Amino acid sequence: MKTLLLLSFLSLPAFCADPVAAPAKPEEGKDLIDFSSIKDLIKKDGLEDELKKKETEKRVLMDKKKLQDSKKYNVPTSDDFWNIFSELWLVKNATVLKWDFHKPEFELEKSFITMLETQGHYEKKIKILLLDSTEVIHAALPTNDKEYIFLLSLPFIRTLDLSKVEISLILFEDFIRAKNGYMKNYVNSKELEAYLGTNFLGKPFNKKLIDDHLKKYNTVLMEKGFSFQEQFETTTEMDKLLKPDLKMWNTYLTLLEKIDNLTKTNTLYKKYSQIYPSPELQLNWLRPKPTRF
Amino acid sequence: MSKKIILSMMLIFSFNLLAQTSAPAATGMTKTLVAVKYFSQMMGNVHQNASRYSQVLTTISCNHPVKVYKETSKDGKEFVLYGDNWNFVTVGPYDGYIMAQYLSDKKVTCFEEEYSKFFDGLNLDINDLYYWARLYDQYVQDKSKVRQ
Repeated sequence: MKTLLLLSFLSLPAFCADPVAAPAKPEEGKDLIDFSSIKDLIKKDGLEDELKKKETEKRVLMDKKKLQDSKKYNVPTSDDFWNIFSELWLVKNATVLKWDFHKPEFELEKSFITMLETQGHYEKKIKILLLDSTEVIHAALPTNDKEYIFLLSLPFIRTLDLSKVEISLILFEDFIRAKNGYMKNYVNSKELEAYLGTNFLGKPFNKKLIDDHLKKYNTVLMEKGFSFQEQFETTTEMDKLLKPDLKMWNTYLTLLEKIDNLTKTNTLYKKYSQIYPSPELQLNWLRPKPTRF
Repeated sequence: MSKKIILSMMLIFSFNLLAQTSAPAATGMTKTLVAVKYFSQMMGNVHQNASRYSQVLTTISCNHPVKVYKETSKDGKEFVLYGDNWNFVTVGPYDGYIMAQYLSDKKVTCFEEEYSKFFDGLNLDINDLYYWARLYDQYVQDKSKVRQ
């Protein structure tokens, strides 16, 4: 059987190389290979579709990667920017402000939270940082409206021997200033506003813009301070909010008297009236006006 | 210099410190893993004791995983929170304490990850990163809520 199969296999080339058959002309060869039918065959087995699918997948993947890479160059939005920016200022001015020191646990946050809740301000996160200097007496730094950063000078509260309620009133005054955006409005600029929320891919990082705006914090809190108009608005708002609780309103009045006296007698706090003009004026705005009759 | 390099340098520097300090876990206590949590602030410190003024063992950044342990004394008392606000944790080779309010069960959105190139552009040096971590030691924090 095996021999038979071998013989038939060997005789096969002899059949193929038939001397009688004329050699195929090139023109006739074209007719033999039907390309269109091969094309149809390829289309039918879905290879082209598979290729297209793979190419689309690759493109989507590349676009996604490009987008992710580009996202790394995003400039924070206003909501994300101010908290970090204020902390950056604290970090850069740590030695001037002297906030890194061992301090007693006053639990100021608890009394201030009670005040915020009494006034109906809920879901507000507060961060209080005590300073061992009088460079900044008290302030609320620019942040978003969910979180507030307060600075408070420990020598100041010790000199005036302030109670927790009085300290809470100072912080609440700063809270109103921050809520009204006085400091943020001063530090902010059109250029910074336009820069926030953009993307700097392919452009250099604008470090100068950041540095220049950091300097503005020092200008507001250590030199220029708040305007009379801003102080008037803050004081009248405090007046309006505290009036329903006369005891609290009186504590506020006494507090301002204490501060007024301090700024007039202690040279260390002379600058205070320049930053918050002025406790004396605030008292005048608060005290009931004498009637004619 | 990238933040990661600076952090690893801080980690190496604090090795000497670790060699000089005693084991933070009290003797006779058994520690059991409670959870793996993530540091939720920009930067923070792991302390030798449950105090913001205690020796810093190492500095970690946002989303760094930490193992939170509970300690059980011989008489069966369990300790998860220390000084009402500190967790006993293990971070790399360090056993120390970290403020519980700075730990999250899940990974959080970190500024330095979301705006990585912007953060790099700020060009913070080792001194800045040290102070940033100290800032979170020094803050006293709370949140106002609607109370029933």
